[in-house]
Amino acid sequence: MKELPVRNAVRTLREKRGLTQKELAAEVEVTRQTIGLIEANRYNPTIALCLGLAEILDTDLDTLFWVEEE
Amino acid sequence: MYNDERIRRTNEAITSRAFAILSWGLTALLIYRIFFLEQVLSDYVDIFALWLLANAYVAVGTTWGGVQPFGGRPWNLLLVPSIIAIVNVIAVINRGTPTVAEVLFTFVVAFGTAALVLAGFRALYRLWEKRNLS
Repeated sequence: MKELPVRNAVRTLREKRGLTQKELAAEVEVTRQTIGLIEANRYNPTIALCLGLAEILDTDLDTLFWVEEE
Repeated sequence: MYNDERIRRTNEAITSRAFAILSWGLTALLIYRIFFLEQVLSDYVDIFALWLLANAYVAVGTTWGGVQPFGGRPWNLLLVPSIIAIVNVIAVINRGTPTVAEVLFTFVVAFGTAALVLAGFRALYRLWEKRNLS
């Protein structure tokens, strides 16, 4: 199965809330590097982590993650 | 944070590749010992036991994890045992000049054993389906 080009608004929403990567990482219990890779669209998190991020960033999954149209 | 899913996934992927390298290495070593050095089972039983144990662990683990053996294609029930039987026949012929009966016996025993093992894995998969998908 072809991997979908998943994009996200983690960086935008994190900065909007004045959080650093380290602070957000601590909230969802992952490393700062994982948050960095998610923001760079180089790592697709599991649905559990997506939900955790959505909760911390006070948004829903559709706003936070989407598949880029080719 | 050791519970980081990305780190866990990366570790799993790397150790899985490392296992594949070791597994294929052991397979190559067994082929070399059986076909080129023409050794008997007692000469390589330690490597064979390790190879069998590791592959049995993977086969049982993946089947019980909901992965159908050999993709669940029905023709594999004939193809896989046939390949195993042919390899065994080649190994027997390679060691000397067996009689037709010996060749036939080797083929039937190898084919039957492989088919039984494969049927066992299919039964294990059906059990997994029954427990998890009903």
